Amino acid sequence: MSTTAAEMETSESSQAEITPTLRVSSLRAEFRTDSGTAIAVDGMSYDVHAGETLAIVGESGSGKSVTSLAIMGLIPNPPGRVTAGEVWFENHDLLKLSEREMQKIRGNKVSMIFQEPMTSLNPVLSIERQMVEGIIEHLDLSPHAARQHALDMLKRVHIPDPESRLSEFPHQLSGGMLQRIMIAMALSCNPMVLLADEPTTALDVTIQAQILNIMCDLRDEFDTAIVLITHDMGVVAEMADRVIIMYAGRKVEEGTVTNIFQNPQHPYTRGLLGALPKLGFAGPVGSQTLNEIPGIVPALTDLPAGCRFAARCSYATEQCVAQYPPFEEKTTAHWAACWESANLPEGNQE
Amino acid sequence: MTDTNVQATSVVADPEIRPVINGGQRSGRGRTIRFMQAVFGNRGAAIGFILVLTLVLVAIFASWIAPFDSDQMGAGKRLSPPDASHWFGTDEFGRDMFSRVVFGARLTIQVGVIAVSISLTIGMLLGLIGGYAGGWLEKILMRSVDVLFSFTETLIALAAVAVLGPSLTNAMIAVGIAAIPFYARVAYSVTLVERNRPYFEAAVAAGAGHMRLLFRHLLPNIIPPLIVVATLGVSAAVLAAAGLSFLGLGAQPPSPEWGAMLSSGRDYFNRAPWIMLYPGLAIMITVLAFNLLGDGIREALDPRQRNT
Repeated sequence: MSTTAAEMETSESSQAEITPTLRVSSLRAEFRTDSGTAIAVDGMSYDVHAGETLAIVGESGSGKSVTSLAIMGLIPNPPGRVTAGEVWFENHDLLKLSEREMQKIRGNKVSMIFQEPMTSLNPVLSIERQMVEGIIEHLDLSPHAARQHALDMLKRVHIPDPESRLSEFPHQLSGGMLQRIMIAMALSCNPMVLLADEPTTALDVTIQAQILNIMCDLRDEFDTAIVLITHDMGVVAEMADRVIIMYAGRKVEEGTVTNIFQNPQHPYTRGLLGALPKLGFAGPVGSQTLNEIPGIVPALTDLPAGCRFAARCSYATEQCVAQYPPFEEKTTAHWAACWESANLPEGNQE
Repeated sequence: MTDTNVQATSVVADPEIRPVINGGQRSGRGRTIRFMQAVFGNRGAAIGFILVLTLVLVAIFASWIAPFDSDQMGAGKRLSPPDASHWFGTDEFGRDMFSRVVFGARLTIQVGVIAVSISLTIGMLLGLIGGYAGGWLEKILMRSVDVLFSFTETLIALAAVAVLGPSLTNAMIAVGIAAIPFYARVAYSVTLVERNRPYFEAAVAAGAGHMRLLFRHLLPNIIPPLIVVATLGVSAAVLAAAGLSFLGLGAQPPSPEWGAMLSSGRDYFNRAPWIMLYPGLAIMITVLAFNLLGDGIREALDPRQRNT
């Protein structure tokens, strides 16, 4: 990757002059369940700037998807509710906007791509109808101009024979093709922010690379801010400028890709990197087994008082169990929430 | 089912037939053709379709098919049994029963179409809006439907006729109103399923407004199961309207409505059973035809019934 730490002008401390495209601050989202209130997102904050890709990494249930649903105002209520925090976009707090005002922003200035391209398009409507309607509504174009715009977008995402694709239905197209159409739809109104929720998880590895390339190209072309939600460290290394690692609803580490990969300050990040398969070592055939992080994520309805990772952490001390560590800058533009980060051994993994 | 073999062979013979998942997952012209193949691969449905088609043709060409006018008294001797000139015999006024049954098909089609249109339209909207809106609107709509549902259809229809007055038009409206809860329930449950599918969330995330979500995204997806219910509903409506007419609350004499004919033939049942026999048979065949067709469509739409 060409991205280096020097290119990264974005960090919270040196951020006074450049306004972020999207600023999430102290977001908290709760879900009412039978076994109590689950705090899915607890004090999440981040900035993302034009032309930048911010990756949010974490395992299932760490709150990464809920964060983006909350930004879009799509948390199902009941049982879910955003109980605190602000989402600043174009001098508005999105959480305070009415449903009608949000409709003008969704799919227009802030777009979202979902994990499952096969089921994210309406099965009974043609591609044209689904693409054109949003364009007409948001960009106020005539039906003819909107169709032309849809064609342009399909060409941009390298769909062969876009003219005939327009009249087809979702079931007639492959997953990779559909995800490209989803991207074309999401970017058709030239959004300032694109929230991509595991856009490549459901796709073949070769198709994944194509989709990621398309997203990168379009980001550079339109200067879009991308929030990439994933649990795939490979995708992060390829796409992201900055990375946030989430664990049990909280941010545990944040920094540039280089920092995170070369000098992780949180044992959980080290665990994630250690769990990546390596050519020649991994698998049941070799003598080494794939590293894993022991234990499971604590129940979101019953979170411990101290560090939420303490129970699974081999460096945990009494302090870790008793007190939640502050989220502090460990090195330049690199934050982590860990009492023991200074005492971690050399290297970047467990 | 006796038609399983027929269905199975037709599916195997044409590997291109793909299951029509929930009736909506696959679209396009090819889908329509495959769907028709699936319907006609089912022997019962094919018979039902032919019977329904015959009924419609008889209704359209009634004035050509019937040798006499439906109300022409003295077309033959009074209460004469079926013979070559009066195939179904004559009634107490010497009217030709065959002509009356043929003209009755028109009324029956009308009853079926109008009553089902009323209940389908209103029921579908109630269910769609209830399932989409959630919250207090859902509670009010669906609880009202539940209350209506707790009365038997006939009772609601009787009450409606009592308010509107006895006539065939009012009977159609009454039967239509009585069946609303049924359609509303089906529409509601399908809407709940559809609104939890990812495409719905994606449409919301794309900034679609209420109208677009309701009528562009949800409506086309809930229609297939409602078609099945509506087809089966035609036979229920025909039966209910005939019942009301039999009780004297629907079509009034001399209207050749089958239920009304049954009712007036009752007094002569011992001497001239054919006055009741033929309208009764006509009702039975009509109901059977729509039931067979409805079942066939349901099976064609249900992927679990395929390839077995």
